[in-house]
Amino acid sequence: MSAPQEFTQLLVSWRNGDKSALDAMTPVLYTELRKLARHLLAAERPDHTLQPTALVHEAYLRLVDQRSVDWKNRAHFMGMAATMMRRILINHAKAHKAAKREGYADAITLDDALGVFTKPQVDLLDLDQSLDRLTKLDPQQGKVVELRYFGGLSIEETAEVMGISPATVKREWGTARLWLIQQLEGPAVQ
Amino acid sequence: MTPERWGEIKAVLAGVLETDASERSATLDRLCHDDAELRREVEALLSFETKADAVLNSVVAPGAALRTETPAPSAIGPYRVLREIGHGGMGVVYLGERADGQFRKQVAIKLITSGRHDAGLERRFRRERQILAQLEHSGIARLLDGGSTEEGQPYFIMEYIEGQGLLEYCDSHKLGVTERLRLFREVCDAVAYAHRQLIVHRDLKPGNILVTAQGTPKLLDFGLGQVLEAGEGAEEITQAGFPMMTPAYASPEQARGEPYTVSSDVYSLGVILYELLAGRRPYKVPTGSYIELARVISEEEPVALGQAAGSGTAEAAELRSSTPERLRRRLSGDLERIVAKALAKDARLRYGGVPELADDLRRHLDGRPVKARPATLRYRAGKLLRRHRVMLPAVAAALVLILSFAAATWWEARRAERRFQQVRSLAHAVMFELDDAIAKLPGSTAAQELLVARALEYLQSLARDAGNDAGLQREVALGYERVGIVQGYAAESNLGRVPAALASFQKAEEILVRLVARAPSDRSLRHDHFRVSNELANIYGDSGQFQKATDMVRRNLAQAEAAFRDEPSGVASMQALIAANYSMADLLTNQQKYAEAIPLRQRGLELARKLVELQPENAEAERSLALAEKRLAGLLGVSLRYQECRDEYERARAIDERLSAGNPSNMRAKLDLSFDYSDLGWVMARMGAYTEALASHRRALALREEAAQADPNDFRAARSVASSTARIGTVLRRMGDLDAALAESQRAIVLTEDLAKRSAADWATVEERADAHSDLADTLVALAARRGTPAARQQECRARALAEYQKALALYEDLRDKGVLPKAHERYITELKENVEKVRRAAQ
Repeated sequence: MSAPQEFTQLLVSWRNGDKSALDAMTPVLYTELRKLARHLLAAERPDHTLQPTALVHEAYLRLVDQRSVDWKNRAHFMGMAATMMRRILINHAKAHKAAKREGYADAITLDDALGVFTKPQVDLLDLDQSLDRLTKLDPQQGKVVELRYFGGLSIEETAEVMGISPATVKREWGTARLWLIQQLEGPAVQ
Repeated sequence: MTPERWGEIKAVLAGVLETDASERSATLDRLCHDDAELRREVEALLSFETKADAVLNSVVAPGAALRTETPAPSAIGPYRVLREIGHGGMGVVYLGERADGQFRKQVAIKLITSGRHDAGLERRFRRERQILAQLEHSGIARLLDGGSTEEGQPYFIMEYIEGQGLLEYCDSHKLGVTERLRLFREVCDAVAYAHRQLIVHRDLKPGNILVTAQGTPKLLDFGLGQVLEAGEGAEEITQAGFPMMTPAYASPEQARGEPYTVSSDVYSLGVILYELLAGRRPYKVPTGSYIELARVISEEEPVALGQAAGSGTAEAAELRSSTPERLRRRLSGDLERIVAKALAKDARLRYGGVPELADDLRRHLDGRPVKARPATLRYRAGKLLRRHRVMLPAVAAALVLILSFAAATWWEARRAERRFQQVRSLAHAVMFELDDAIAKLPGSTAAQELLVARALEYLQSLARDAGNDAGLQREVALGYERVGIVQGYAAESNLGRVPAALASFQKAEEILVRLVARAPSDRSLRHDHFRVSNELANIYGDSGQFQKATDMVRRNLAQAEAAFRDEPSGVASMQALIAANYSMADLLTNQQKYAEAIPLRQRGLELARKLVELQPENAEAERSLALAEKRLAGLLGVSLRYQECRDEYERARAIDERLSAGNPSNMRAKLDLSFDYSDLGWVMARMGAYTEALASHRRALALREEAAQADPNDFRAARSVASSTARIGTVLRRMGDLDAALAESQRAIVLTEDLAKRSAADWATVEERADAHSDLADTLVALAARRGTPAARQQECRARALAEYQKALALYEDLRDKGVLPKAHERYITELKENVEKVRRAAQ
């Protein structure tokens, strides 16, 4: 069985409730993402509006047999990738900070990477910490944010992945945003 | 905060968020009852609503790109999209393959996405399409096709290159410095080739260079490259440069928005070489302000190469199978000077062209002294000398053209005469030298017309200015001839536009008649006139004007015989006589006067043999000999002398087989060979050897499909594919495999209808279309008559056969009514009418 077919099979099993399929998929996806990241950085094409998420998209195209899955499978895939996406972005932000401290010589590769990533509008490291706190407070809400923000899932896709209603997702997302911004900005000036 | 408390807050907050602004206060009252603390917490959160909308919304989220990605279209033009393989400044690139199953080869499809749609982009894109069609080099990704989608988005189809980026390839293979230099020199060869075609890349960078598994570098995206062509003035050259560059690899002049020259490509190659060797860039390019960017690129001197490598990481050295210290020593000295010369801020101090950079690297690899001198000597060596260094003529011409545009007023005011001569020689070079070079390459027909037509425009404007300059007039005439050939001369790859070709040849002939009258003793002028009027005669014949054609050919033949008597061993006079014999024979053949045509063909064959003896090793002469064999063979065939016919064809096949094997990328040779196989198939079928005939036709079809695939614009190749398909159908019918025959005939009809759309004026194409209908009808009649065919099916077959015969008849009658059907072919109308009657009777 070819790699995409095998991976797709796992994805379908996972969606149908087979938890062990996730364990089998995770290392494959992570390896693929790292491979792609290396490839894209080495290719150095600043004209490409490369975003870390593009890695996930590319990985999806490579790993999943497009003909045999529907949008729901895609959502599950992205849902799984969201966690990794978050890890990639945070590592990246940390590395960037370190590079700034160490000066120019080592920064070449990192700079290339930063040049092609779109700048997030919030400090990702702060957001990451706030999201950890939210997850402790409300695990379901934390997951919704991870899927929506880092995984790029729509309301419907998030609902599908988490097995909750779209209305709930909408509520969780809407309120979480305000809570997170408050955390990032400090108490509002009245 | 406890989870419970957050739960309470969240419930209220959600409730408020769902209500309209005007009712929020009331909702807060209702949901908070009298919990003032709860209300304050919720109101504090609500105050962040605007901010959250701005910075934490689902659109700017890093994950958003996953969702806003426009889905890949399922097909673009006749190509099926397999997946996206990248996107660049120009648009999206997909992996694809032909959707109609005609050819099963993977291609890269470059499409402008509507989101990035702007007028300038589309113009640049259209230009890229034309430019790429002119480039044919193993180191440059090839253009196969182009067009617009139904939504009007331009796209083009390029050779799909599987490979790694240049730097990635070198690192993953841990190539040492010497191996990296070898690879880089191959890149230089490809760029130098493009420069010889007057094309600069404008965006050279490692990401635009892929290395295949075989280790061959391939240049992608000649999107910023630009033909230094006549139509576009200085303003264009200046403006196009700025926004499209990649800052890290841009040259100082490019960063300042000045005209782009071949020297700018040298600079970009210098940056690539630096990075390839040292593992880092020569200087750090800031992001942000263009002014700061231009300043750094124009002023900041690169860290010396050896020093850069020495201070680099152990990893960079290890990837070069070296240590930092060894790498530092290796990169100091020669290589440091070569890179510095390529990276000179002042373009005049750089290598004069890419070949010189490559040469210096060659010298270094051979251990010879390099031309690049240390910086201290550089100035003393004399800038002037360097500036007027002898360059490759085409590179020089490119530079001259850029200069003449960039400073057009200066040139025109002070050096009008000199510019005139330069432009003239450039136009001449483009028209006659470059055109020859690309004529035989696959995919070049449309590019050829563009190239020649542009050069011709130039010459015409010069000719108007020049008045009575006979030399210039003659060049204009020969220019028209070139254009005519590309537009629609049946014996060469052409665009199938016969009326346009006729007009071009007429203009060429008019000019030459005038010139010959002025200088009757100029032998080479007479040869030109003779050749052109012969070609004109052929075109008259092709467009059905037989009387004009015959008169012209008779006159030519008499002239050629006279000239040959004067000069019996001259190559030119011999060629002229051969051509005249052929034209006469063609005309007679078209009127089915075979017995009269055979002696003319035999005489042509004799002369062609002599010509090969006079010019051994000349592939063109050998090709002409094969052509002579074939034409005689054809006549023998229609005169029912099958064995002689087959022998002639076998001789032609042997020659063509050898010529094609000697140059596998020559599509014309492939087509030549396909005609041998096709005609052999025909005569074999006549002799009853159907199995052999079928094999021969299939071989022909394979060669023709290859040629048609290589150049989708080549009308001759497309037409021959249709013809092979029809012939295979006929043989299958003769063999009794009626179902297979039916399928082939139907396919032939589709193909000939497609041809008709492309060239409505060509009577031979219309005839082929009619014959395809008639073939299909023949097969249907045979099916109806086959034993065991049920009565209902018999009825159906006869009805369809009748319809097909009638279609064929209508096409023939239309040709006759337009006066373009050869007299002798009118008997086909009679035959078709008889067939129609026969089927009618059988049906009753």
